[in-house]
Amino acid sequence: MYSYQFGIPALDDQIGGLTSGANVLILAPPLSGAERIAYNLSFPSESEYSVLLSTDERASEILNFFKLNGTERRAIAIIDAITKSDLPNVPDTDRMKFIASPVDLTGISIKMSKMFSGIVDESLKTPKPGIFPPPIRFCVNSLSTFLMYRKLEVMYQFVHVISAKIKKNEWIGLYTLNNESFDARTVSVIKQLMNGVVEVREGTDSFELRVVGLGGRMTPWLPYSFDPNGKLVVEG
Amino acid sequence: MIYTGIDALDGLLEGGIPDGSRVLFSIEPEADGQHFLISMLHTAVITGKKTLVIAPFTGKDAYYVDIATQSHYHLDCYDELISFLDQHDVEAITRQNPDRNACRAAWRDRIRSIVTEEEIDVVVVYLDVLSDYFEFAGAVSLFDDLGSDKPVTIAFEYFNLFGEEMLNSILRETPCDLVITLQSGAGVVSFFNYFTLHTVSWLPLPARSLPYIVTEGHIVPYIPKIVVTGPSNSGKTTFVKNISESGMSVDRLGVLGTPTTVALDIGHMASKGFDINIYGTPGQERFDPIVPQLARNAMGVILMVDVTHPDQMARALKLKTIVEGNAVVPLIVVANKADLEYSVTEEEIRTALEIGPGTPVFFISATDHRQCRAVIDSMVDQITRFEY
Repeated sequence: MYSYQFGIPALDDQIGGLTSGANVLILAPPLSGAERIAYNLSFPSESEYSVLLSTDERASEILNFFKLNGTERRAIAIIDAITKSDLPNVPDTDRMKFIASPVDLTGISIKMSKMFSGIVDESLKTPKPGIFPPPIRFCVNSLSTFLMYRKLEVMYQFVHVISAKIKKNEWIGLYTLNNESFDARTVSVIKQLMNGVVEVREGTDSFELRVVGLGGRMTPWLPYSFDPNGKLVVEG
Repeated sequence: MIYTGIDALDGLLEGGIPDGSRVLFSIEPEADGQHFLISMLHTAVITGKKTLVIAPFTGKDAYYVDIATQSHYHLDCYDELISFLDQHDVEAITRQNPDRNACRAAWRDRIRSIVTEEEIDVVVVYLDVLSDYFEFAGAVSLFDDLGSDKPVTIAFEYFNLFGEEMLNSILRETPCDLVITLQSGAGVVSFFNYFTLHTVSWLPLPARSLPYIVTEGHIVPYIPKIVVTGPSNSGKTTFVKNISESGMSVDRLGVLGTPTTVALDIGHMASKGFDINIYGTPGQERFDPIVPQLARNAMGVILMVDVTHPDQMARALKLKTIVEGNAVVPLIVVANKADLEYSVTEEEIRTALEIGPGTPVFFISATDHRQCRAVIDSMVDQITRFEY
């Protein structure tokens, strides 16, 4: 079975990459760089694609971040739910689509579907060595914003539809959620849809993360930091 | 009457939607179905109807730009006909009324005052956050009794994440006059969309699902396959060629010195707003093994017989059995070459082909374009209204 590697030695050693079809929640307090962790885990390897759904950071910023870290332009696709509210005229392209607000789940669903079809079509027209459908890392940053706009029941169902699709197509999904803004029930409802959780806490000197679930294991707490380019560095 | 702007759908609804109706477009995940409501909105404003749009997910400018790029409709040209409640209005109303009941009352007042002051004919509502705040029934009931002197048509778009059973139970509680569900057939990715006429309160239409394509923001329903079959030399190829806007025939010169189809005829045409593909089968017995393949998943069957050759009725009956297989699909019998001399009657054909009174029999000449079109139009009616 295909395994998604992170290219982060400490994590790959500990969990041996992510098996296809996994949905992982990144549960982190504010200011811990949850979105940077999510992006780092979403970096596409050779022949892979990344699709990001962003409610918090503009597509242009995300693209810069990925390019800075050596991602090929065609390997990344972004659905941006913030830029359009300031710039109504911003046009959609193959790899960047804009939604007026995170409220618009209908629009997001249609544009996500088009994005995935575009990538799958392209891989059929210009076949690269590897598996079919092409491996995709899908990242939502963040569920917290969605939950501020929409009801938990609706978001549960929405994430359920997405995570089922990820699982069926043997892709992986990464979802960030701020653990301090929501009650325990909300967090546990969302957790039901996941195969694993990356938990983040404030350690003595730096933030620390551990991976829970994913084959019944739990890694020790691992301190992490970001290099000047924003690349995740995990100790251990 | 309000048109949906989708010819095939307006045809099915016998003209359009009666004034004062409550309409629901229920979109399921991945279905590319937002153009249904947009098309209806566009048709309303170009026919001069005053319209209120409630779109809590976007700003007015972004909404206009989206519609212009996706559907090429320039709603800004009709700005004086359109009142708008967008994201900012929705946030303002919610912020000023933290209490749920007060918020509801504020919404009702706002909608009522716009509808009466602006003399609104049509309200277009994206339910999204409204159904989060007030539940589906509560959100829909905001539009009950708007205090207007004239009937106000209300069209809702609802993103149905909860599946069909949930929708049915919601609709039992809160009925609508017209309910259209939009779904997508998905494998690895979504590869086709279809709509279902779930409820039509003013017509006895059966619930019917039909696929559609979205081209440049326009909805075109289509019928993927109608099969034309019948004995050799009964005129199938002539018929398919005559009605097709484009198409081809795979044939060879036969023993009679005329061409005979050896694989199939393919034709493409439009009728009653539908895009249609037509497949003609070969008539010779030696091709019988491929006929079931050609006929697989057909939505309708046209059985063609030659009125000048009543001796071929047994062969026609055999082909009818092969094509129908175990499926129940609409059937039309075409008695071709009716411009020549013949003696066979409709009764004799019905008996020979074992068909009931519900199956139409057309006496035509396949060389006459108008008569062929009438057959296809009738086929479309059969497909869209046929009771299974």
